[in-house]
Amino acid sequence: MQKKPVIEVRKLTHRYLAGTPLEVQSLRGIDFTLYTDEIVGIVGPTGSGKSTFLCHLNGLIRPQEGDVLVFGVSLADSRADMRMIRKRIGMLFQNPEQQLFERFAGDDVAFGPRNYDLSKEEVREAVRRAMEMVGLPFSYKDRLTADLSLGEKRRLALAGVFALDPEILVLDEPTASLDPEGRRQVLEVLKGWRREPGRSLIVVSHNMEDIAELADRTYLLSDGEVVYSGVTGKLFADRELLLRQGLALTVPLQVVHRLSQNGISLGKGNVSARGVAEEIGSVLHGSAQ
Amino acid sequence: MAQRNEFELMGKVVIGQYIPTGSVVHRLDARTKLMLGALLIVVAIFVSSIAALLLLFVTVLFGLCITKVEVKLAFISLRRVLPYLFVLAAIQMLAVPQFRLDAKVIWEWRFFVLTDRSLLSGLLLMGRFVVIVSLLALFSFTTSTTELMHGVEHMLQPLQRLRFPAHETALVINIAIRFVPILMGEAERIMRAQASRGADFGTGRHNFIRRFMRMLPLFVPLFILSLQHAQNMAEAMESRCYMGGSGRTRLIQLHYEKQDFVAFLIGIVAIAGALCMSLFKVDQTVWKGVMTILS
Repeated sequence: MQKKPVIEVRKLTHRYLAGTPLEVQSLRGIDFTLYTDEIVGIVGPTGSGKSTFLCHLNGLIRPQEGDVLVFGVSLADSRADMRMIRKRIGMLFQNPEQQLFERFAGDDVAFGPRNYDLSKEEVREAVRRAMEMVGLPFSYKDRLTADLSLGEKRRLALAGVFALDPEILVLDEPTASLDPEGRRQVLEVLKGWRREPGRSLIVVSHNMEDIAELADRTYLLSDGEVVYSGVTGKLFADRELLLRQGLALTVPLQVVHRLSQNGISLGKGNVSARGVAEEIGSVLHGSAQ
Repeated sequence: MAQRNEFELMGKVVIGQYIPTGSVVHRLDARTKLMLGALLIVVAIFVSSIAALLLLFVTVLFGLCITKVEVKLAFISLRRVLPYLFVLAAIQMLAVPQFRLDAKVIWEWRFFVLTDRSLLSGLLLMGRFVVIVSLLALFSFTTSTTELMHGVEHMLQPLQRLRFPAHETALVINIAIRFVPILMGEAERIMRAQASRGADFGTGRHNFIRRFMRMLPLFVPLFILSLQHAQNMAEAMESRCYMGGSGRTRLIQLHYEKQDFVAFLIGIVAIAGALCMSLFKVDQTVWKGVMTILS
């Protein structure tokens, strides 16, 4: 199947406070492509330009140099219809639960649809659908936002983005500071959302386990440059690169590494917990026979 | 020039920004800068002479030049308010000092009367504004908030005898100043998140009430976040045994040096010069001179 690029970024460069003595170079010539039906992970140490890069994807920051093409529309063009593009790209920033502002949960989810002037019934339907997608009962719409747990608030914020029915979802640290249960729920929601055709997902995370579990391809940013781009498994195989960039090794990777130090090499390049477990299992079965 | 971004609130504010270059002005005692700054502002407000304002402006410009900061930066903020300033000056010229009998009418149209007096007062208004804005730029470029706080605290010290909470006042001022960029950053983040969900912070297209209503979703989380920041900070201060002002020693000890006396000298000379010019009506003498040469 021919893959279609939905987001293309070419030689994107950004400087904060350009033209003042406090100028900071944030992005240095980034090339990036997102195709339909894929999940792309973005990893990198703090200050590597990840968040600045995300803001370029829906025109919150316009390109200073280089170009960003979304659905074939250049965002460097000041006439680009940003509101239409923002409807098609759902974006969720870090700690979105801090930005809930409505008294009732349902109203917060309805913020997006109301901004796009949908009718009352359409808004209601969008809220119902979105809340169902994140696994919150529709009756939660009448709960006080402040009374929800952190995990529920995070999923409510996610529902607020789903309510606009985006084709691309961009998430900045979706599982940060959640407990294991909350994290598992968010990951389930994301995997469920992705099952429909024609949807793609960009996940920024410090949590390498999330990336291992979700991402098909991964970009590694460092100091505003792409240091690695390609299949996620290959990145995780490059232990040196991960450690040099100050990224954590996932537990399965550590197990694989320790085993190889003890002379048992698995070498199939699995990165997920399940894949590594299956490989270990087959090795154990092999030696038992 | 780089494209302007709708959500970069902080990028627009240059004045109020500390730019460390380690120049002689930076090394001045904060009290010196505070006192001289306050004096210069008061004098700029009270003198009524173009020449005096010019002298004050040249003094400030001299100060800006030796800070090693690009002088251009001081005028970025000024350029933005200039249109309003022109309108203000125009109102001042046409409306205010019409009652002086000795004023000469320069231009007249229906009920608009422009006299030499009103022209002068309009020019004075603009001159004062330019002097004060560049002075504030000079002060903020060269004084960090910590220095400012120590300066304020020292200067309020004499009031401590009258049970005035000098240390606390300085602390409150300092925290307020520190919170401005934090809250601006938060506002920026919230605006970005809401714009991603189709919120429109566009200007001009809506009437005032509608625009205010659109800002409400911004204020609620901002307010909650600021309370949380305050609470976190109070807890952090308490857990580090902060007990208030009495008996605290300081990391930065302020003392006057040679450069402070030089700065005071320059400042006093400029102020005295400006006051003399205003008092002896140098403007009129110069004006008459120019007129006689012209005629």
